[in-house]
Amino acid sequence: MNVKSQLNRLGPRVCDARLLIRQAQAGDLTAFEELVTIYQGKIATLSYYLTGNHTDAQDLAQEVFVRAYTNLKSFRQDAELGTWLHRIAINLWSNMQRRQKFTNLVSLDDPVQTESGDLARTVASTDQDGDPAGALEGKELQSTVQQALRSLPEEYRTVLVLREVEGYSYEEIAKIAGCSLGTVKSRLSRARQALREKMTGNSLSL
Amino acid sequence: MGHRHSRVAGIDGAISCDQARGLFYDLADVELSDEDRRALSLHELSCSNCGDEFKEWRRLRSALQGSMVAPAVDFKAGVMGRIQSIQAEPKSARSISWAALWQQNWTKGVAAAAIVLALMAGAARLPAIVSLGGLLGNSKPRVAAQTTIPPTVKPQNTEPGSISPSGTTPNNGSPVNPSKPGAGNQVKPPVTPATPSDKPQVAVNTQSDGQRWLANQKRVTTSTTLKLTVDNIDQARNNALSIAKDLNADLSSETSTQNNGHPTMFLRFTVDPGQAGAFLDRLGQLGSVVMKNTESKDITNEFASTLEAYRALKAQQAAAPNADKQQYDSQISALELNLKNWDDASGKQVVLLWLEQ
Repeated sequence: MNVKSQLNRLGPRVCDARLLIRQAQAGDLTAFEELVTIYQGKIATLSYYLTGNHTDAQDLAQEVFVRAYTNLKSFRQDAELGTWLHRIAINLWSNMQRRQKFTNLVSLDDPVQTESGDLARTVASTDQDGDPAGALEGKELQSTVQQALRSLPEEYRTVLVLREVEGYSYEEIAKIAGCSLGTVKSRLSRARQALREKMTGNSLSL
Repeated sequence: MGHRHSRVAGIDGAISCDQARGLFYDLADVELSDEDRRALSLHELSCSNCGDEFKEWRRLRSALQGSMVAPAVDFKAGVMGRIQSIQAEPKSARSISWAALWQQNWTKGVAAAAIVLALMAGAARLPAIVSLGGLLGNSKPRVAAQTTIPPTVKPQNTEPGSISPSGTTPNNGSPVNPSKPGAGNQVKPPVTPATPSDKPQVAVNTQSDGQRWLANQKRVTTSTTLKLTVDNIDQARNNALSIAKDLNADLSSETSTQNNGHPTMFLRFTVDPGQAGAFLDRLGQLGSVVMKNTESKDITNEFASTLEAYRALKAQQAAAPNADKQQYDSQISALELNLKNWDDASGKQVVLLWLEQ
């Protein structure tokens, strides 16, 4: 049987993500590429709010997946892959800061302008009311919130992004951040308060 | 995902501000009892401080939930390019350098992901030294683990040349080295000697015509990722399959998972480029479009490298004692899947439909 015939006998691959991980661990690059597709948005989001700019966020996020691939065989499927990837991102960023004696790549109080002038490349608006004025107000609020979020201390930014942007549970955040559940809850409480104060300060300064 | 929260509301249903905050902010994690839910609502109505705080937080939370950042269009290509570059490096040099990353000093990397990965994975398990050179008739057997660039192959119908990995930059996936012009070939891969000691050589003269054209054909894949939020994921899936049938799109893989409690599904289709626009338009009507990215990638060299690795492993399996043959199965299956997906994708458009409920 020639190669093409052998390939044609393989039907559509139906699996859940755990099988995809096992395939990737066995060396299937296509499977790993699909895992990148699944998780790239979340890792890009965390990377952006850690680094403060898109260029460094892209480098950090790419490094996360490269590290994940080279260490994939050591990943035990009792954990969730997303949790593991986020932990890699946080650890890489910490190591980078230590090595480079980095304090701030950019002033987090200054807005970062992308080519389009937006503060962040956010995913498409999900405004479903069809109200243009409401959509505009929503975009302005989002812009203000992002600016306030980026101005917070890193540990507050991290837990807020993981919880409120990416929807991770307290337990998952504790695993990602390498701290206790109690620490996560208290940190989130302080982070929310800090964000509210920033927002109040922003609105007063307008 | 959540668990039943222990009841905090007192007999009269009243709760304190601290209790109310605890319930409100933990809502995403826990499933509140009916009593706690009622108590929280009552407290919110009766306590203006908490009412204002919760109302404000709902606004902020809504804005935060819309703050996901989209990766760059070429992000995935960059990741896969870097993985291939690293796989091609000698093991001793494979430590990931942050300095190199920040200085963008990675343009000299060459891609030999599949062949090196497969051979090294195989070498780790096999008792014998993997000798690719021996299989191809070289006088000096080579240890595959030391091979960072695959051996060259001389296609039968063309002038001497080699199939070798191309250098890629992480952001555009394009080969760094331009192809040499060749007579009769659509594409000539870059000529790079395999090892310092061996000359490029060896016609692969035992394969059928079917295998030879697979190696020589230029392959470019175009893929579009379309992410939709849908009300009913199973219905959306069935509708997508129906649309695929109408437009002769083939389903090549289907993956189900959970994403923070939301059922999520990935369906990978290949469709004729002429139908791709209509296919994407109709799929887009199945839900709310969250993301739509299209990227093109030349996989000619990746395919050739993988095919070479596949042939080598098949040959080794054939030559191995019966007791050892099974050890090759998983690597061969992985390479078959890669080749199948690439073969399906070449000349067609890949559509990765990402459904989230």
